[in-house]
Amino acid sequence: MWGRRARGVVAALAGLGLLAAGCAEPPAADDPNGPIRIGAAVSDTGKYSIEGQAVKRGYQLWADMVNNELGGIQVGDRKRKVEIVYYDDQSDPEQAVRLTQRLISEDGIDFIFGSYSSGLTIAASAVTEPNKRILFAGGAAADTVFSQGSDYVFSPLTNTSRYTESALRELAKRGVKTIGILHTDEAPMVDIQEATEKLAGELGIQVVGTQRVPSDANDIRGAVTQLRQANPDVLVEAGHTLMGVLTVQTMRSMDWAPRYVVMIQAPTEHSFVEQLGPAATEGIMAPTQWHASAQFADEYFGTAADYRRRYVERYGEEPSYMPPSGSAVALSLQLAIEKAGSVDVEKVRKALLELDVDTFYGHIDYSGEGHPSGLKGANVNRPMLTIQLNAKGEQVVVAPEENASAEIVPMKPWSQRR
Amino acid sequence: MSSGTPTIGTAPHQKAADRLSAAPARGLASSRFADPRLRAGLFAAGLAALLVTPAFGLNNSALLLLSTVFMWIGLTSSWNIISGFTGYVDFGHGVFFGIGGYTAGLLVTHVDMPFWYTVPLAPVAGLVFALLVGYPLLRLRGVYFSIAMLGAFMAMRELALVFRDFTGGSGGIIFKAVIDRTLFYYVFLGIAVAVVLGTVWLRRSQLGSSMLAVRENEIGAEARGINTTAVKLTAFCVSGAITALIGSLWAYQTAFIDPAIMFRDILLINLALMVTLGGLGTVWGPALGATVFILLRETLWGTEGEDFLLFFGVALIVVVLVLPKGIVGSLADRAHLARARRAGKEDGR
Repeated sequence: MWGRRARGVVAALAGLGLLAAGCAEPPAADDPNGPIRIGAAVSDTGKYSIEGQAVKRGYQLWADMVNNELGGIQVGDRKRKVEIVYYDDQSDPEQAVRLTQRLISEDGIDFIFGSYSSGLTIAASAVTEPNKRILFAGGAAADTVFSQGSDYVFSPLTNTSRYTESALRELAKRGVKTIGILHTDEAPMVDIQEATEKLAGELGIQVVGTQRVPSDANDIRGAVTQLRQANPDVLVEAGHTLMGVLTVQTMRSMDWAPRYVVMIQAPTEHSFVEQLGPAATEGIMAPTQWHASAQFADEYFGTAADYRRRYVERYGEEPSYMPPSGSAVALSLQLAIEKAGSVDVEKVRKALLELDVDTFYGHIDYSGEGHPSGLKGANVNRPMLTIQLNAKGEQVVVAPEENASAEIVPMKPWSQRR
Repeated sequence: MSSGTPTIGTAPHQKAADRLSAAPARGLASSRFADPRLRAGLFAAGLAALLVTPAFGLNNSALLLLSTVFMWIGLTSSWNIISGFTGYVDFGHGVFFGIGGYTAGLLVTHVDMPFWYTVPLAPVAGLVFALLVGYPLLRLRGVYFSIAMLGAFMAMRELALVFRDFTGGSGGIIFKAVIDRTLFYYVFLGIAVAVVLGTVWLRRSQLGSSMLAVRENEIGAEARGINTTAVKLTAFCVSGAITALIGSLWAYQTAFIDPAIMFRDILLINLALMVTLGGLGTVWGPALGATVFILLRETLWGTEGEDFLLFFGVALIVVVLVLPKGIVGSLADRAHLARARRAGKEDGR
């Protein structure tokens, strides 16, 4: 008896699901009196959840600013509020594709804010492209996202191939001649290693040693000893935060301090200084997409420092580079809609390509058809910022020169550190 | 009797195998569903309904949802052949999904082969890999096999990352895909139907009985003359080949693959969840588990947002506690018990 009832429940459940799917309402046309609807499939859960939630906060901070302070986006002669429809892609590419399709086919949304990883973004763009919907990549920076010839994908982030660029250009001016690279075997770090070697060649800096270590290594003395023997002027370390910590500990134990040290990730994390102490981290540099002390500003968010203040007030913690990336994505949509005076996809796309503005996130100028870089929709002219940790463990922007608030300082020998 | 053919089993073995496995596999054979003609009729009606469904103006989102359900029915039912029937729980089954996707991706990029030509080659690649890996690994019993397969899964992901020049590494492979959701609806529907019908047939065949005998008592099965190595390897190869086929189709439909996407942990977790929910080792359980899981995920996550995972976790604990053999397995047990009671009453009369 029970069995039959349970079977009935399961059948009813399955039937309901099918019904819900089948009777999905046709996509609603844009209502000129209602809010502008934007879709966002972000990773609220799963392995990209930290990054996904950070980007989502950036989107929301922008939406609140537009609705509460501006009263909406100026579209022609009227103001329209914005509404973001969020879905959780669970860091799963299957869900990212599924949700993007849902935003387009069921919710009838024209503008989509993307997820964190480059892979998820490319998968989502395969859905948005043939449907002619604009996808903003709020967290994707790999060159491959923009080398597909997609006409409807945009991102204000600096591409991974340029991560070490501003630091190396500035150091080349200071007469640096040789470089050594220590990197983990993770894919993005290998990309950065390759891009760094290529750039060093262009700048006339000689690569005197490259050492690859497993990402979970806990003893890298062999690799560091080899690099020390090559004695480079600059050491570039490409690895995650723990690898950065291990590298500093190993260099200190060997009493080796190269003139300049650039680490891809660790110095931008507050835990790096907390763990090693400011005396050990002083002088270490790192690339970052954004920093509150950078000399950036626009009329909506104000300066980069104003943005930081707004974020801290709202969320009670310091922003990493990710929330501002999300807000910058959204701000570029707002500027394009205002410029186009319309929410028509083709008009907005054209306006996005024509954008050439300074914002709290830096300059935004999306590349279009036939750009020499071969990238479309990328913010190709925006350099990566480089920060350096000072004696107090604070991050100070040191490159590129026009955004810097201090000069680069060479590393002190270990014996001169307290 | 230790011949090389896995299907051979003499009458006593057969009985032993049947006795060992009768309960879960009789499935929905109770009461009104006992009539095979009725069941076949219901199945045909359901299939006919699904065949004409796209004609009722479903949007691409609904078509994608349904084809995802069909795809998972194919995946769970094929995983069930090795993990449920022979009892060799394969925790690294996603490796075949990845191999299928990369077979298609590499042939399209390096040989310039049109995608649809690669589709028959993906299951061949899965089969070859299953033979190479299965022969040594299927000698391991129980959890050791599960862990070894997990190792194979992770190793292949690393290889796909390391051989950048060949696989594209983390830069991945992009298909210039023309995505037709209606076409994929039918393709995945066809696969789901074929795999489920194949499982029904397998369960009734001697080979299927031998698989269940391996699950219940491998040493005993061997002693009774079943070539257990051949039986296990056959199950593993069939299971792997189907999964590789589905992997290649999914890869194309997603338009982009990289090692983290094709060899993703969540696939392994979802497989285990869906099959546990429906009933491991039953014929219809994996299909039901996949359908319920995906439709719940779809409907609840619309209303519950990120609380879905919490809800689902709790629901799964309840299912495992109340219905330890999954929905289908537990229903079959109850039907079995009811039949036994009825038979007891009749005897008492």
